[in-house]
Amino acid sequence: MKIKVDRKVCAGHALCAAKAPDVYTLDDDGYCNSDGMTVPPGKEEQAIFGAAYCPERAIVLFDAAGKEIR
Amino acid sequence: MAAVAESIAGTIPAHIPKSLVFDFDHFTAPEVQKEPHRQVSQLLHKNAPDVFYTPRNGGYWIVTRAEVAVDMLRQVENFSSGPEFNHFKAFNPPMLPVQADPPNHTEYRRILNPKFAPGPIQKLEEYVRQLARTIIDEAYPHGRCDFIEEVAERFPVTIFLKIAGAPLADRARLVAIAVKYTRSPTFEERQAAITEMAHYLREKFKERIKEPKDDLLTQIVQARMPDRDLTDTEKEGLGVLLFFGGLDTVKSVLSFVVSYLAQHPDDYKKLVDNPAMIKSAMEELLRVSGVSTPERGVTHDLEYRGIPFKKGDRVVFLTQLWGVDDQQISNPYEVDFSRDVSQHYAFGAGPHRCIGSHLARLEFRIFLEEWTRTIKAFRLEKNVPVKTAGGVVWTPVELSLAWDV
Repeated sequence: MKIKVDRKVCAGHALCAAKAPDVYTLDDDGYCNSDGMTVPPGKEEQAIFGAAYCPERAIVLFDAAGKEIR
Repeated sequence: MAAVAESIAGTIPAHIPKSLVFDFDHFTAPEVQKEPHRQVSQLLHKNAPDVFYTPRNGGYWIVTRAEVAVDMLRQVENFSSGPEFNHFKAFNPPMLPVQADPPNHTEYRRILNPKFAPGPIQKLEEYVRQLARTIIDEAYPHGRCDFIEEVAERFPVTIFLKIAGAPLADRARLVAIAVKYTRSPTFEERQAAITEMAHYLREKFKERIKEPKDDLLTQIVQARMPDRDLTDTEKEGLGVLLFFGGLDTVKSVLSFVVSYLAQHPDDYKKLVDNPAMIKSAMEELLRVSGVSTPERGVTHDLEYRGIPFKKGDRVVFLTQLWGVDDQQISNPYEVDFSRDVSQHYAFGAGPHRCIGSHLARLEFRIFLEEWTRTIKAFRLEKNVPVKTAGGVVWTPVELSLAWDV
């Protein structure tokens, strides 16, 4: 599972990292810097949960086939 | 044009369609004075257009729906934070970064973000917990407290003043200035509050130039834009907004949260029995406890969702209603700690997202952890509805609590 973060839309709510700390990390300003990262195996559910919390809808997840996960 | 008093109907500009006029005053309407999230959303979500024009307080648009509002707040080229497009907010100094658009806004945020990011805020946990314990331990033996004065104005404000570097002795004076800004409907009163705060900050900045410290005041004095120093007006603008944010908002949200828990002992018991739940339950409580009212000005004549906006129109966003928007969430007034995702915009949305959100979350969580640890059950002292006030920041105004010792 791959993570795509629209860094222009991310507003630094940091809920992704709070709700899914094993998946998302923040930069020094508190904005999500997990764009392009692969979700650690077994953490897929956490990744989806964290993305759902993003108030800006800035996080999109893709499965191994490159299909967007909704 | 239902229910608009004749005396003000004549003040409505010609470009406003009559079908989009609704008479509502977010400072003084009866609905903001008791259970405002429920009452105001029931009034406006049911009876008013999603974006409507009120002729009150000089006249402005009000946006009530989360989806519309978030979409508009992203369109900074149409709905600007700049005071040049919203005469009601043409304050001196302009409050920064709130009254700036990207790219300048981005630079101002870059100055402040590192201090307010989750990492540095987390380091305050022990201090915040000690303070919460001290305040709660003082109140506990009395079996009662005036929550706003004894706790809500003390706990977050003490923390903010420490981060800012302002003396605790100035607390009452500074809170009074912030309240004057957030609860005054007229431009003149709000400008007077800003002038007073800017004057206070100017003196503090002088002290920090002479003797720098590890605090926000010093951070602002030493900050630079990429290619130049900050002007004095910019420094004062950054300080004024931070102080208003730090002195009034957490107090208001915390009072709403505690007011809810006082009236819902079953929900409170869940937190007492299972403190590990507080972190997620808090998001659900925040959903129904939003307080803040950002504004934008229209940058040019434009039509949006069929609404004819004119350059310079003032647009007010009731973020308070977004968490209880029935188009976003089912059973919006029901607080349910087991909701899978508690979507809310208590801290706003878009580039202007509340910079203090991480500090506020830390304060709410630790406060509730310590309050539940000490006080196993509590209630409203008087059996009357909690009185609340509208304005730029909504808040309970009287909240006396009681518990068995």
